[in-house]
Amino acid sequence: MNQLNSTIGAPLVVMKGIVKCFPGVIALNQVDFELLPGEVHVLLGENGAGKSTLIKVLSGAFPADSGEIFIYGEKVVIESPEVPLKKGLRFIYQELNLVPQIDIARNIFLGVEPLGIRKLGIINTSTLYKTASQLLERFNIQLDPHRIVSTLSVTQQKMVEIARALVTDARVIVLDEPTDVLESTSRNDLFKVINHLKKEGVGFIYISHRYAEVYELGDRVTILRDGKNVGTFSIRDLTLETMIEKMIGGKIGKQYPSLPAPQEKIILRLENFYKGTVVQGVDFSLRKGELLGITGLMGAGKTELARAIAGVDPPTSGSLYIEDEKVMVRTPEEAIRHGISFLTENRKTEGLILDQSLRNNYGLPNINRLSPFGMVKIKKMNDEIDFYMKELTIKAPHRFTLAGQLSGGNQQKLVLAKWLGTHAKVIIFDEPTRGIDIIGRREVYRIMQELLAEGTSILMFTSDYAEAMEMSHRVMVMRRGKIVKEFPRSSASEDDILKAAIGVGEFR
Amino acid sequence: MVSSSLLKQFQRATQALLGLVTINVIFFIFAPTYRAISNFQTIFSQATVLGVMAVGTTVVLLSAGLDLSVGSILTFVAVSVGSMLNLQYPVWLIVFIALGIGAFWGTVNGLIIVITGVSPLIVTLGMMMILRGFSELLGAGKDMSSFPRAFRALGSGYFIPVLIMAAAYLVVAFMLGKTRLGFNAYAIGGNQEVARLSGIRVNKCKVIYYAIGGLMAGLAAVLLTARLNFANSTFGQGMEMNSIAAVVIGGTSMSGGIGGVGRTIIGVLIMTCLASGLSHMGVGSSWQRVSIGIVIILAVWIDTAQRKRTL
Amino acid sequence: MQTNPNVKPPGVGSGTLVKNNKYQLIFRSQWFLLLLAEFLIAIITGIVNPRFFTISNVINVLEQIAVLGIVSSGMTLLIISGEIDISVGANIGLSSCVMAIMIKSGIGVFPSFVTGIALAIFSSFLVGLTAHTFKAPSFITSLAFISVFQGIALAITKGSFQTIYGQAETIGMTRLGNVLPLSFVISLGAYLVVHFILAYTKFGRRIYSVGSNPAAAYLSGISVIKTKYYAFLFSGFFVGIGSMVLLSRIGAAQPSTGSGIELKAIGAVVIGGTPLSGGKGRIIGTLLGVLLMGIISNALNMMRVNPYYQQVTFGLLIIASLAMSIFSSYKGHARSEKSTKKAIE
Repeated sequence: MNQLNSTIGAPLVVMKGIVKCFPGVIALNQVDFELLPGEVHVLLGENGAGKSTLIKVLSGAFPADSGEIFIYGEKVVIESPEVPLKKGLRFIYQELNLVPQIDIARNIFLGVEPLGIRKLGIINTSTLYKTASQLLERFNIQLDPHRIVSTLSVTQQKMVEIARALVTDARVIVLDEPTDVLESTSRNDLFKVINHLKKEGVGFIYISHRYAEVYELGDRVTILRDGKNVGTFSIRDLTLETMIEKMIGGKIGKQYPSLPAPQEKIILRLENFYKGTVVQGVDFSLRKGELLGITGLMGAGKTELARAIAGVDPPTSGSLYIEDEKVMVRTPEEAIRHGISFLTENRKTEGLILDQSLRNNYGLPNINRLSPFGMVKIKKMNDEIDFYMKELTIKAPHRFTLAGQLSGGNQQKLVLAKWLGTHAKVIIFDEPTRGIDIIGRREVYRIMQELLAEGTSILMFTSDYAEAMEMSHRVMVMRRGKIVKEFPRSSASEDDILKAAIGVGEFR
Repeated sequence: MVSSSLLKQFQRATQALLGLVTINVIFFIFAPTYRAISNFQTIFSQATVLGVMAVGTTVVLLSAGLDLSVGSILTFVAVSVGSMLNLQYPVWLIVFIALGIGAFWGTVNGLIIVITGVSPLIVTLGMMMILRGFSELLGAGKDMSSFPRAFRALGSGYFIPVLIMAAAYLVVAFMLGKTRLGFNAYAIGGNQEVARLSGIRVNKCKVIYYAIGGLMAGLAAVLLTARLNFANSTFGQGMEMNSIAAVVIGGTSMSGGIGGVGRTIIGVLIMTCLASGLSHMGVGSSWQRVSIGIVIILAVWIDTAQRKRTL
Repeated sequence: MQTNPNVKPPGVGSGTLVKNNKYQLIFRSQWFLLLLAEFLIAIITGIVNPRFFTISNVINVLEQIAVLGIVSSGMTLLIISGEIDISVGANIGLSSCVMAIMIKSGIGVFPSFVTGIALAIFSSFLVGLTAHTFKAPSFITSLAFISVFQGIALAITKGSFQTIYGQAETIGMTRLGNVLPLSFVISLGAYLVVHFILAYTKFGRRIYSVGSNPAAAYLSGISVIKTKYYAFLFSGFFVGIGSMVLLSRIGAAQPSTGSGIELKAIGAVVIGGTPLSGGKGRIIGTLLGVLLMGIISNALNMMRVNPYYQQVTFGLLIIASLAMSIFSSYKGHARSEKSTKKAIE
């Protein structure tokens, strides 16, 4: 720590022995954390490690079960979001936190409007708009402060949020994965602002999963794993490899299993698929027992294509053939009838009913099959879910356990179980391993391998290039709604895929 | 400053304005008696009661709340006022007490909603029942008519009532457009969680909004009893529906966060002209009631259609 | 670093402790408390007025909760599916007026009842249809339909009482074995039908899914709209049956018949443990909730409380019990305020 000569001074924030439990999980277990003035302190950890929970405890979004918090050396009890705000702490959350119906200036000054007559709470509107536009200029945001926030793009909204954090004298700024939605130019603008404020002694807590950013911006890093603090390190002392190992708690071994060879028979064929302006004429065919990976940048049309094939948001035009028979799939119901299953990327909001039991979740797509004449065969349903719980090693005490109490990996396996019950010919995975730890991933891959061996075909939409390359028989890269490139398995590097996804070298 | 923000709301409410003009044109053509100047005077004085009430409802709906008990608050205040007038209190004191009672019940609504977390729909529906009961108890077997002239002056003609309504509108417009309390209403109605995380005391604000709703219902009760020169316990039943309808037709979103009082006044005029025009065309009160229901559904439809376009 | 003595030892909370005791828990808290409350009220009233425990009074209670029970059964389906209909009272008013007018004009009792029930089903469907097509929450559209139904009822009756004394009394007045009111048996039938739907049928499972997480249900091949429409149709059917029983017992109808029952029905359902946010709940809870309403109403009568005070008491009671049920459901759940907002909509 002696290297951090720029960060002399008493710590701005100290958190000691923070514990936070949710039903069924300990999200934070005796976590300590410290932030010095003028440093960028990175919080690192896999999804579900407790990073966001720690921040929300500090912000007063919910209280900790136990532990102590000191701000500027003074012990505080954070019972509401007002407390840290008054102390000069500012929070920028992962999800957008603006009021969409009102304009930019009002959002920037939400709760801290400049008052003309203080006692009566009368707002000086001209100052409000003037200060807002000055602030926007400072960040190179060319926006009229009168614009309603709902008309802005996601990047613009994020920038407004960042401007909001800086509107009053902030001494601590917490950024929860702020660059995820930013374009690279706005990212640079943001970094410039951060470096500038650092010199003024502002402390930053920065949550990110982009290693490059960690090295570019961070001074120290605290690594969390399963709700526990693994340790705090100076970033210069830490190689990328050790950092990742500490994060996942073990060596990175071989991740991807071998894949059985696909059969000749074509199961699914797309012809001239269009969906609005996002999917622009896609053709491909999928063979029996084949895993076809489809990848591309965010906004390339992957999810839209997946949802169009699955009938969730039906295509505007184009034909779909299943075993050479043209079929119409306009709702998920019809997709299931034709043997297509779709595992959504939003496991928690669209894949499962978190406050219902494993069994009821299993029943969702299988209820038709399990209830002749409208009567549910409950015993059969119980037997089936028990079977899949064993088969897929879903770790849960009972079939009546609530889905929300499972870990991310087990939830994904439950989603899988529910769709395996429909005995689909084609399973569409949208981001199958997002938010799942290394061990969970391996199990998902193993299940995919077994499915392929049984002759099920898989369409995998993923933005993880390594996964796309190593887990598929073929990879197709999408850009602006079109398939631009195809690679056979393990024939290209992540870099090659990225180039194809961005479109580098196309005009050569 | 106030007028400029009012003007902006007027601009955004052009659709509602168009609706108002359209129905007036229709009634002008098809209902000869509707055209009379005296009829418009009646319309204005009728509009004041609904208008005052709708101001309060606007604030509540803006903050994504709902108060179905305002009609019953009006009843209760009317009956209270009726019983007090026979006690020979000075008029200003009676008005003051009336507003206080209205604000009190609004506050009670707000407190229950905030503390228990029960949905406003149920709380205020329950409160509607409670207040109807209280009004019956208070008003049973009492002669509540022939009020003092000074009191009647508050509601007679159209000049004083319109003046009172205008005052109510200006105060609330100022509150919404220029004060932190008003800004917070939009924030809470737009996204309560964001408002909370921004350090806004959501619960405190909500209670105040319900109190304003109640206060305006109290004021409406004063205007109504003064104009009709009597009070009884069936007063104001169904007024909450008319009030919500007026606000939503004006263009304030039922889901909160969008709207303002400038639009509400157009909604109020539409409702009043509609009622007047229909009765001039010989449509009975029962079918008028049906039409109010249909108008609300239409307004909700327009509301959702517009929200889809802007978001 | 000092250790905080309040910290729970790690490991607690995972595995065994979270094992599913949910049903027992619910039983221990909500339903058990309900029964207890009912017994307590009954005993106290019995002490104040011994007439409370006479057979004729018990029959009276059963008769009085019959209609509420039938309507609440349908409401249970609706609320679990994530919808609500506060126009059921007005719907009863309209359909019973239509039935009464038809019977009065000499059309047979049977076709009149069938028409009335069909009308109730249609009215309820309209609420659902407008909610869906206009993408508005059903509490708003049903709010608007209160005016529509009441207005139509006023128009067709011209505001006057429609009496049919002695013309259709069988359903409302019959007592099986001279003791058990037929109307109560019908309400038991309603509970049973709803229980059967919820526990054993595909439609029942879908109602839970749709009420809990419509997005997940839709992606799993369940037609959310169709399921909700069915819930409205069923609720309308029960409203129709309820109007029939009510008309038959009272022998007269007017537009305000049934007004206020919506709050009692919603109250009964929620007191019985079905949250307004939908996705959960069982009919047994509703039955107990209805019983509570009946006992309290009867107790107030027995204690000769002014009917207007009774109204006040009921309003307070419903709010209080809803608040209690919300508190008890909050206990184990770390929920944000969003869930309350969801409950409103």
